[in-house]
Amino acid sequence: MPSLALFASLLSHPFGSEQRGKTHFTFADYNASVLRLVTLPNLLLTWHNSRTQPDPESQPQQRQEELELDITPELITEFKNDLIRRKITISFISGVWSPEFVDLVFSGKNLNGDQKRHTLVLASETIYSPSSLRAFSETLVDLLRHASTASTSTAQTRALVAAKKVYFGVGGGVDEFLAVLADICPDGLGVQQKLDVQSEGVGRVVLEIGLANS
Amino acid sequence: MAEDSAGYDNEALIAGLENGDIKPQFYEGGFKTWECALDLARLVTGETGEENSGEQEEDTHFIEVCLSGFFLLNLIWYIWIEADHIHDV
Repeated sequence: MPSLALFASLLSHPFGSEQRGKTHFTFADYNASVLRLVTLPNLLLTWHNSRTQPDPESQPQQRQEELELDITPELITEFKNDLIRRKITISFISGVWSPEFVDLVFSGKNLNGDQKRHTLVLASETIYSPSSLRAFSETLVDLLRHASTASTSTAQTRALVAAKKVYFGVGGGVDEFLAVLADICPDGLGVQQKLDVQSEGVGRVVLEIGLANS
Repeated sequence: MAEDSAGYDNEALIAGLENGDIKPQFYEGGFKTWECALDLARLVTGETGEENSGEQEEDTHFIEVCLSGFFLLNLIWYIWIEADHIHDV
């Protein structure tokens, strides 16, 4: 979902500059069904809404009609062509966090091996489970290390991880996550808290993570 | 979201969601919006507003490793609410 907001933000800017770099989105989820039934339709809908503005004066009935969208072959073609014009490419990966997952993220023709680029890994609510915390953390460090080969002083690699401070009843949380990271990467990672939300319930944070020497 | 093609075993996935969000190694929470995803979306779009203006020369790779599921209607309402199109929700 955070990438969806980025996608919407990209679409809100008119394209045209030949100097503009390419943007590649990689969406990953444990379940392929989520990617197929939710993520991709949301991308299509976000793109469609970026072309049309809802009428703030319209009645709820009209708003309901505005929400319906016929997905025709022509719409799909238009969607694809617009992405090409904007130099946006998208890939989808389902399955468990693993070295094979990392290989898949960086495979494919849309990521040229030698091209320098910014890399931003976005993770949300992924540290709730103690049993998968290690796999996620190792994958995260692996992604950062792999992506850092394409970094420069101006093209950076970093991750933003959003999480609840503690997941009651499940067992995960920020302290456990940081401990696992320290164990996986003794050389050190740069960890900075970008957001701290105190609420009536459990507090939430967003951590920025980068390789120590980057 | 309806699918025309057969062969996708979504029934088992969706059934029982009301009994709990997570079944380890079967369903890992991707269909619901969780608060942290919203925090991250707001932070990232605010932070990268200028970088995303389309003028930068370097390529960019966004990798989303999230519980990113989102019901379509929730998304539309979210976008409209954020854009102040609806004030009475």
